[in-house]
Amino acid sequence: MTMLLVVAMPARLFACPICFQLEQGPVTDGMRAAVFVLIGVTLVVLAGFIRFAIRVARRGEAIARTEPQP
Amino acid sequence: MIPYTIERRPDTGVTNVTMGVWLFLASEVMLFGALFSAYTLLRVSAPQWPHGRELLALGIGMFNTLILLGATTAVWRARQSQRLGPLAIASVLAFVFLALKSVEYTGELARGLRPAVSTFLAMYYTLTGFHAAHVAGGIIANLWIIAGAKRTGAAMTAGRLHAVSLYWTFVDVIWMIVFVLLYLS
Repeated sequence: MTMLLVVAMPARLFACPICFQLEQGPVTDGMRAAVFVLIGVTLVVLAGFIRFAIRVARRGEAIARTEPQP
Repeated sequence: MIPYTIERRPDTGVTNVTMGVWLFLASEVMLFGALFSAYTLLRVSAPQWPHGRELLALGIGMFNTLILLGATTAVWRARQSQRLGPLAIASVLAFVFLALKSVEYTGELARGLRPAVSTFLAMYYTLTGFHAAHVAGGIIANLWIIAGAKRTGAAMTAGRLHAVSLYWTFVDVIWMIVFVLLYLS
């Protein structure tokens, strides 16, 4: 199937020239910096979610330990 | 009736109101993160980038910073004292912020500084416009709390004051970043 797509529509499968084999310059520098900013923001938010999930799990375990068993 | 709006959920340790506002703020961080990422792309790749302090009304911007800090301080005061008076003051200060922002926009547009002129100005109007929309949203939230305080009771109002204090702090932090990136660079 992939081979068929390569033969039938090669232009749709190859990376766009903006990202692929682009010469080094201000545009690539800017794109790289922008990606790092976005990754940084995403990681901060994800770290917050993970921290919250761990907190909920620990509190849940603590509650289960204190509750009387049937 | 949504559960745990007043008392804390045992497993999360917070009320659902606080939980909801933190989730909302997380989505807001992603929104502004994308805008700051776009700013970085345009700024780093631009052959020339104007100095905002020379192009924009720095005096109004600095005064607006103080106004916004005052508004957030008033919201925190309302949260700590559980009174609505400081929240009304915060709303008035936030309205002054928007009024000054519109004065600033009018002056800039009169000088021909439209968004289409440069990528700097496009980013300036986008970032400050989004931020101003959040200030307007904060005013609506404040007025909604004041209007519903008698109906909902003290405990529910306390939760709402907690939520808006987090929101206004976020709006302040975003403004600080916007101010440094656009006015002081």
